[in-house]
Amino acid sequence: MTSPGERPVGWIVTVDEERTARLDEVVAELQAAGLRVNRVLTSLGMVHGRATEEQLEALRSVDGVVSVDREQEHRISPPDAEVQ
Amino acid sequence: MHTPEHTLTTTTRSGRFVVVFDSADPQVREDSAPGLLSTEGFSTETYFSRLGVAVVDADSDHLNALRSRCQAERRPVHVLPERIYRVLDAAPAARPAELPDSFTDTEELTWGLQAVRSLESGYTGAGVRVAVLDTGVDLEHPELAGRGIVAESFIDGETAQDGHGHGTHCLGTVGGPRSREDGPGYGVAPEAELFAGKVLGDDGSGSDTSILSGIDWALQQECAVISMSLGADVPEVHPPYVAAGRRALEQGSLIIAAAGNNARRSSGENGFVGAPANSPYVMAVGALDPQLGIADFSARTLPGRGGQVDVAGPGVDVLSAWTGDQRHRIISGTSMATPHVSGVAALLAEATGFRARELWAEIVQEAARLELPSVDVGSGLSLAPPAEEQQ
Repeated sequence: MTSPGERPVGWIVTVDEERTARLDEVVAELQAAGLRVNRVLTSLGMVHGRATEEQLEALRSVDGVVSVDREQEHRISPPDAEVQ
Repeated sequence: MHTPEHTLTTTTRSGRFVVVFDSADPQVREDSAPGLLSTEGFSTETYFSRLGVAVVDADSDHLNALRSRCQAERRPVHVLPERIYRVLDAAPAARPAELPDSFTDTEELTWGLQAVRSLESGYTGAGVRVAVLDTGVDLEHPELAGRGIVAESFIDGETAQDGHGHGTHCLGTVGGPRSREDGPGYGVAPEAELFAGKVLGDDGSGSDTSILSGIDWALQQECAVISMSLGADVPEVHPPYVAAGRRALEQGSLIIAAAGNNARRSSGENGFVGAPANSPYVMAVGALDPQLGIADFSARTLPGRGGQVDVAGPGVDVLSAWTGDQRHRIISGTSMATPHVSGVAALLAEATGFRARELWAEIVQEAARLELPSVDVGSGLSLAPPAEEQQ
C-alpha cells in the first residue's frame, strides 16, 4: 500500500524569466530533484512532469523555479448540451 | 461645474484658429512643426509640442499659405476655427451608443455578426494569426476545409480532428464564412489565418498540460490572438495562467478566455469568473443575449485582481459550424461569446497594427457601453473597428 503523498501526480513548474534562456539546465535540476518530465514548454518557460507530494519541496527549491502548481483538469459540456 | 442638466455647447471665434500637426513622430511635433509655423510668420507663443497643436491669429490667405507649405512638405495638418466652450441649460438625453433593441439572424448574417458590426467594418482579419484552443476542428467541414487551417493535437492518442463539435463551432465564429449560400454568414474574421490547437479531447476534457502546450505552440506560431472557450469552475487564480498570460503579452499575443457558465441568474446565482479567465493578464468574456441583456448563465466578476469580466460578446442562440452531417448548430455559452471577441480582436489588429496590451486596450476602448453592471459585461459589447472612412 502506498499513501496518497507517495503517488506521483502532475505538476506545472513555472521557471523564472531570467533562466528560461537556459531552460535545459533547470530541467536537468528538476529531474535530479525527482520530476519525471513530460513536456518542456520553451516559449512559456514552463515544465510539466510528475512527482509525489513528498518531492514537492525539493522541486520548489530548484534555482529559477517561480512556482510549482498541481495540474488542474478542465471540462466543457457534452456535445448535446444547449449551454456550452 | 458640469451638472447632468447642463450640456456643453460651442461657438466659433473669428480670426483665431487651431492648427493640428497630425504626426506620431515627436521630432516633427517638437521641431519641424514649430519651425514651419515660424517660417510662415505665425506666432509659436501658443504651441503645445507634446500635442503638435498651435492656436494662432490669422486670416484665410495666411492660413492657405500654411496649408500649401505643409502639403508641399507632405506634413499632414488640420486647421480649425477655435471654439469657445460654455455650458447651457437643458440637454437632450444622450444614449451611450446607437444600438438597436434586439437582433435576429437574417438570411445574410447571424445576429452576432450584426451586433459586433463585423461586415460594416470592411476588415476581414487578413494577415492576422488567431489560435483557437479547443476540441480541434472538423477539417472536412465544407465551409472550413478551404481555409488552410493549421491544426495540431495536444491530446495523447487523438488527432486534431474534432470529435466533439465545440471546437468547430468556436473556430467557425472566429473565422468561418461571412457569407454563404444556404444561410447566414457566421465568421467574424473570414480571412484571419486560423490555427486550431486540440487541447480538449473528444470527451470535452483536458488538463493544464494540454492547454499550456497549446498556448506555447500558438506563441511559436506567432498568433496575435489566442481564443480559449474553456475553463474550470474554480474561484482560485491558477498561477501558471498568470505567468502564461503575461508571457504571451510580452511576446505580442493576447489570450481571450470565456468567463464561465456557472451563473443561474434567474435563480439569484450570479456565479464567478473561473480559471484561466480570472488571471490578471487573460481577457475574460461574458455572454449577451440578442436583446443585449446578460445571459442567464454568464458568470459575474470574481472579487480580486484579474477576476473581472473585461468585455462581452454575443453568446446566446449562436449559429456556427458543427461536425459531421449536421454541419451547423445553434448553441449558447460564454464559449460562444469568446470567439466573437477573438474575431473582433483580429479585425482590430488588422486595422491598427496593435498587438498584446495595445490590442487589449483597443478592444476595451471600441466596445459599446451598455446600461448593465460592469461586473457582468465589463466595458460592454465588443465592436469591430469602424470602417476606414469613419476613422
